[in-house]
Amino acid sequence: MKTSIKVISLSILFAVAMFPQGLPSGQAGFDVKASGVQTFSFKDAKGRNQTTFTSITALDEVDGTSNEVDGKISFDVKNVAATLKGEISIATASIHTGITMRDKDLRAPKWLDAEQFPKISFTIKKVTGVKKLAANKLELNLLGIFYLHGIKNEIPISATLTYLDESPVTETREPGDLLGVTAKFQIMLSKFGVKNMVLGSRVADKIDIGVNIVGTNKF
Amino acid sequence: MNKKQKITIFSGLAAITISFAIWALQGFHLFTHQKIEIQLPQSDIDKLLGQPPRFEWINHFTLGLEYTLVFTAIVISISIVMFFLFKNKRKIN
Repeated sequence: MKTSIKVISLSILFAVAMFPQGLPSGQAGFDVKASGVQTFSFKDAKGRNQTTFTSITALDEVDGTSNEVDGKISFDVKNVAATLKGEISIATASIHTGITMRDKDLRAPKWLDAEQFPKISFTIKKVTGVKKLAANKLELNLLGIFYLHGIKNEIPISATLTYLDESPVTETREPGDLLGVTAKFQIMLSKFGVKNMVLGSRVADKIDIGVNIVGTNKF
Repeated sequence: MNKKQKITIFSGLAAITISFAIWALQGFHLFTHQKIEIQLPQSDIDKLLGQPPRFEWINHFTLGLEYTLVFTAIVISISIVMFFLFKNKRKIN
């Protein structure tokens, strides 16, 4: 009896030690009707997909949004962790902050230089951890390349993916299976070559970014 | 100080006080906003997809400290000029 308890305890300890962030990459997928490799497009003509950013300093808080989201991601429904790939981008010129002059400044060469670098993007490189929250919901830790202001940096992102098979309910938004993606992460503007004298005072170096997008596999 | 000078000073002070009161009531913003963010109602499908409420920008002027200070400087300048213009002139016999 004591030996059995010891074996069980050791097995639990081993499992916890091996997979501290959930299931190992390469084993987690969605339990939905769909199967095989599915590709989702996040270009929404109605502009409902949104990315947000926030800069907080002692002087000011700047909230911004962009609704010009583009990009595709694909994965094998039953094996998301090992097969997930794709890129999500926004148009640099589409960022709005509520102040017309500030929006112009953001697009100017001294900040994000929208003319020279019209896209801000994230390309998935690796899935580092998967947690199954429900049959159609996965929490992932992603490692990818964030491209801003002409500079690429590797950053980690925590994302949640929700899969809905096509139904009369999903059709109220758009046709096809739908994939909801939410993600939150931070970037340092100085690491992307943004060097402005007000960086750190009026605008924070650390920017909080939120991604709230829905893609369809019928596009 | 004559009556006209007193009116000038009190009018100037009142205008400055009102502008600061409007600035304070609109949220003590450092910079003037032409638009404000409003939260849109969340649809059922968005809830199922785990999407948080979206935001939309609508036109709405919100006075910032920088415009308030510019207005204050203009009011002070005009008040000073008017104060000297309304000065009693001595009659030379």
